[in-house]
Amino acid sequence: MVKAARKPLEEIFDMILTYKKARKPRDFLQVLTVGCGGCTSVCLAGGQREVLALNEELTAMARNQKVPVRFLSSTIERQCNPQFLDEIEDLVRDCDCLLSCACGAGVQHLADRYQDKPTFPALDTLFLGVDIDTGLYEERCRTCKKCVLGLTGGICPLSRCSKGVLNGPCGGTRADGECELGDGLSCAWNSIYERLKDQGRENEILEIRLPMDWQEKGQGVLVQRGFEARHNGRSRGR
Amino acid sequence: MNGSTDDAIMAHRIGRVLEKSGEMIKLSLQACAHCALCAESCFKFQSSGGNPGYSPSYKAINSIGKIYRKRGRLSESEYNAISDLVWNRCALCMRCYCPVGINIPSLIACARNVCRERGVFPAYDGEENS
Amino acid sequence: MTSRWNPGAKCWLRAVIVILVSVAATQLWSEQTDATTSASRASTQTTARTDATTSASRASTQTTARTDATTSASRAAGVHRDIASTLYNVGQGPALRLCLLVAVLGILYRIWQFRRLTRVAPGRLSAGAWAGMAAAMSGHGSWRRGVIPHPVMRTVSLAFHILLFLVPLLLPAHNMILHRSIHASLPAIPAPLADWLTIVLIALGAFFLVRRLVSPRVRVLSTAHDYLILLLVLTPFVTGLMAYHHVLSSPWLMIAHIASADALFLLLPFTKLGHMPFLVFSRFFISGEYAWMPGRRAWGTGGHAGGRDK
Repeated sequence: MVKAARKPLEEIFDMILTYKKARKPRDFLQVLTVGCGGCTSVCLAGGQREVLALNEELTAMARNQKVPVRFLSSTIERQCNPQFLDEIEDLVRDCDCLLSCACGAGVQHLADRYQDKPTFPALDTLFLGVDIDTGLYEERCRTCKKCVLGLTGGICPLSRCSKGVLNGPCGGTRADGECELGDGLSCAWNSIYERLKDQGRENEILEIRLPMDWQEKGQGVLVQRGFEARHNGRSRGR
Repeated sequence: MNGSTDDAIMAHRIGRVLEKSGEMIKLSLQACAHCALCAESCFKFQSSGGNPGYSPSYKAINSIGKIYRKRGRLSESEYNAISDLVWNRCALCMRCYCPVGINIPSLIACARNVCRERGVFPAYDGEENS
Repeated sequence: MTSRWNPGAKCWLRAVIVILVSVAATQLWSEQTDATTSASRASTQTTARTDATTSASRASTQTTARTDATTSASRAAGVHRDIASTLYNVGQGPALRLCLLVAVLGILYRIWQFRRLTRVAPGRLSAGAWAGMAAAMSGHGSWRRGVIPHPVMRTVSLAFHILLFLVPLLLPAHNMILHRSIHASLPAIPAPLADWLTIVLIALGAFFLVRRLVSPRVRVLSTAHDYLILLLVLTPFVTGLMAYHHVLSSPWLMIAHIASADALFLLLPFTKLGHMPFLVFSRFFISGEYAWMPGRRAWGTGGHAGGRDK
């Protein structure tokens, strides 16, 4: 799932305060913090509990700095699906701006849905990753659109090799299998070799793969298999 | 967990949720033909070996159906049972298919909303997750 | 607003009340115009016989059946006979019209309710209507599988629903009655075919009943409402078949036939029978993964107020 981490509190607070326009007849700013029950709940960054905690901290900060701000909250199933965005319409109408605890995609969907209110992100979206342990998550995927995991025994050279090389180790592998950058990183290609050897496929490491095409092609769009006719000719969203 | 231990406020909030979605819930429950054809489209039902308690219609009727009929006034154990239905037995993957066209995920989502108001929601940092 | 009654139970109650009120009202009416009742009954029979001589032989068989029913009714006590024939006439006449009216109004109410509970969703694309439908039909798995994924259920359900509407509409007896009242009718199918189709329909209905009793995932959902509605749906067909073949020589068979048909119309918009208009609404007007025609609407009236903290 998508992994994210909350921005520093001061950054969030300052961001909100750049928008000082409170709605009459109120003389304080009313902010709606919108939580997400999807990925950011699972990685403990932006779920219901985190939203309530965030609001408490922001309220305390506001009180300390004597800024008239009020924080409301609502957690919805997920912010990346329009179906769930409708249900907070009442609350949004009442508030001056939105603080989204979703990943970057959710923030944008929320902002698109409620265009007349500023939407601020409370989180920094980090990567696609896996759960190693509660509260511990590791990146595993760079969404390169050309998955080579079948050739590398299930270890991604892009996300786990520090240099993201596609064809074997760079030559800087340390004797104990560590990456020359140190920091406790293991050499991904060493791991790939060991994995392929375990599966009796070590010769496959000799196959040359073409470099990744990282050319910027604009916003990615996926029309899922089986839906081509339904979304006929539609190559972009809105 | 929801920051307020005042039962009256909680009941009021739950009441507002039900008020907004109540008619849609009622219509959906009325239109449900109890045909259980949605079961086959639910991966949780399939992987449970056909446990009837995992069919989407069962989950919807016994979560939001129960909540709606009792206007949200259920006991703690009833809410725990409902939260098991809507969180453990449903991933809200939105793949469930109803021949009649009832939007089952929205019913489950509504039940989750009410549970959240009640302070019942999954803890991803619980011991069972480590 | 809390109610102990589930939606099904409330509808049954309303139906029973309406039927009782209609019966009481017509009984009062018949007591006041006793002589007129006998005269009109005689003229009904004459008209029926006249029609029979100008129709095909199968029509006259139906007339004979009704005459037989009326004849056997006359063997009973006088008051009993009056009630029976009153119910018989009222059931086809005012009660039927009333129930049809309620059905139509009910469906209109459902349409209005649907419009109220949904709204044109911003940002939902609707491909050109027919292109969208073609698209939904060609590419998407669920439509390729039909309305119902399981092959057996799909066949049975489709056949059942088609026959449900086709058989009463194309029945020669019904068309004869229709012709008598509005001088227009639909084409009629041969009576033996109608018989067989009715038997098939009843068999399919029995399949539903057995499935509901046997399959665990269906049984866990089933309520008395489900069983009663299914039996009610089958009642007009069973009683109609029985009456046509003179299985029981009692006027109450035809009365049960008419009463159950009337009840079905009455209950159509308000019970789970309302899944039929609902299906049309949601498949054609709501956009979504399984829509047949990508609609422009989405559920939602504009949000709920939940989760507001301090």
